[in-house]
Amino acid sequence: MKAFQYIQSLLPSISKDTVIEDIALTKSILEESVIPAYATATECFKGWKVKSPEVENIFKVISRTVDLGRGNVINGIYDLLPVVVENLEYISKNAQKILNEEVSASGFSYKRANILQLVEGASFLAKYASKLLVYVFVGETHATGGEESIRQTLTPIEVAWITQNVSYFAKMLAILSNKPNTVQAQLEGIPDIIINKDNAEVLPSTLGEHKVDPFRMGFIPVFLNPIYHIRMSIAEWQADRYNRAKDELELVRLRRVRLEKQAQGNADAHLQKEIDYVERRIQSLDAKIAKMEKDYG
Amino acid sequence: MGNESMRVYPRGFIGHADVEIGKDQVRQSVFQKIGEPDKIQPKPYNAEITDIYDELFKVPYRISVFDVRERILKAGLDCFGFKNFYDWVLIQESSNSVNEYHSRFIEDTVKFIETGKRTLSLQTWARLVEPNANTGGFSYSEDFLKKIKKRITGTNQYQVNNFPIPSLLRQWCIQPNGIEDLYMSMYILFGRYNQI
Repeated sequence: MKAFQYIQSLLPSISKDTVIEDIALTKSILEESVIPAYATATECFKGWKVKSPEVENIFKVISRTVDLGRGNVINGIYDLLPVVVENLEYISKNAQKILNEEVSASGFSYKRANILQLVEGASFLAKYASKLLVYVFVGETHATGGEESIRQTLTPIEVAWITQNVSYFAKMLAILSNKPNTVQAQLEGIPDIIINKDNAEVLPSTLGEHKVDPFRMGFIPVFLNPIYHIRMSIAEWQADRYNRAKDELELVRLRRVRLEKQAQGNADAHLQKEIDYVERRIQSLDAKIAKMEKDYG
Repeated sequence: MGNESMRVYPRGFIGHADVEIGKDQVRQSVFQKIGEPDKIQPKPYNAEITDIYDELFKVPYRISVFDVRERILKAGLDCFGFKNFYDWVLIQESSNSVNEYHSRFIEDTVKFIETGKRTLSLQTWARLVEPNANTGGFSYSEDFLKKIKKRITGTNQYQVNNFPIPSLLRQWCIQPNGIEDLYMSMYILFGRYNQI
């Protein structure tokens, strides 16, 4: 982790409540939307051979970084998501213990910085996992004979976001799906030394990079979760994030029905109308969230 | 209760006719009256279920009021028109206004009553279940039919399993948010729906 660079990007002060609420929200999104969506997809893709080249490319990157067991990629992610939730519980307890009520950016230790980056990474992981499923369903429906391709269905921004961030997603999934006792041991081993400009250069070489950045998050972009970096209306942003996750679960379920009908050779304009409606709602929430991030940033 | 007192409700489902019926006045332009008057005819709906839905739409927290819950359960006892819920399930096929999404919705509702989980949310069902949608025909899955009726040993005949309405409502309400699911499902089945 480029520790000093990271704390410089943070707001002057961050409240402990914000961090704890953020973890709780990510946990709810994973449990109530993302995991049920993967359950739906796992049933649908049991024994499925991936046909879409775009989906195949994404899956290759994920499989190279994460140990997904013997099943297909969707099944593998589905198996790992409950471990992510378990790790988040531990991270939340740790944050409760080691963060002050108000943490100033200048008072961030290596341990605190690692915890905050894990929290940011988890919220990014939940968002990516959800969008990935939609991408997979659209790609596979097209490859099975559906009219609209990924590029005709998703916006160019969505396609670019999925393809450009896949390696970060794979890396975060690998980190957060480690065995909980491994994550705990790694966190406990991080020194509680305040980061400053001088020791940020010296400590990694004297103590070892594995001590100050045991999760190897150094290459992950700093800006994964805006609430720690820009002043914004957190409550509204979080409510929109939650609603978007709920809509994405519904979209995955509708897209599953669409794919199954397509595989049987039955196109259904009535169902497509409903899919378009939910997609428009998600796109409008995406646009609202992006505008909030831009306006406050 | 038999099927002599049945009626087809706005979305196409068959239900008990002997309940309080509501009917909205729809303003028609001259062109609509001349053009396709059938399409804009208001359809009679179950007035009590629609009232409950309207009330809870405006003030959702009233769902925790005992009187409101009692009204939902009473409406549930009345609206199907059969003592055995599975008889009601099987009669739906005889409606001329049902399609694939009507059968899927009924299967999903039974899934909720058994497991507390739905495949699609009720808001989505409310948009998908349309009497004139251009989609596949009404048809229950084999697995679902096995749950509803069984072959009488040594014969070619089937016997419908018994799921009395009071047991159905009890089972429905013990699921998480079961009472909410019950009144919203009843609204989709028998409530107001004016398709233009």
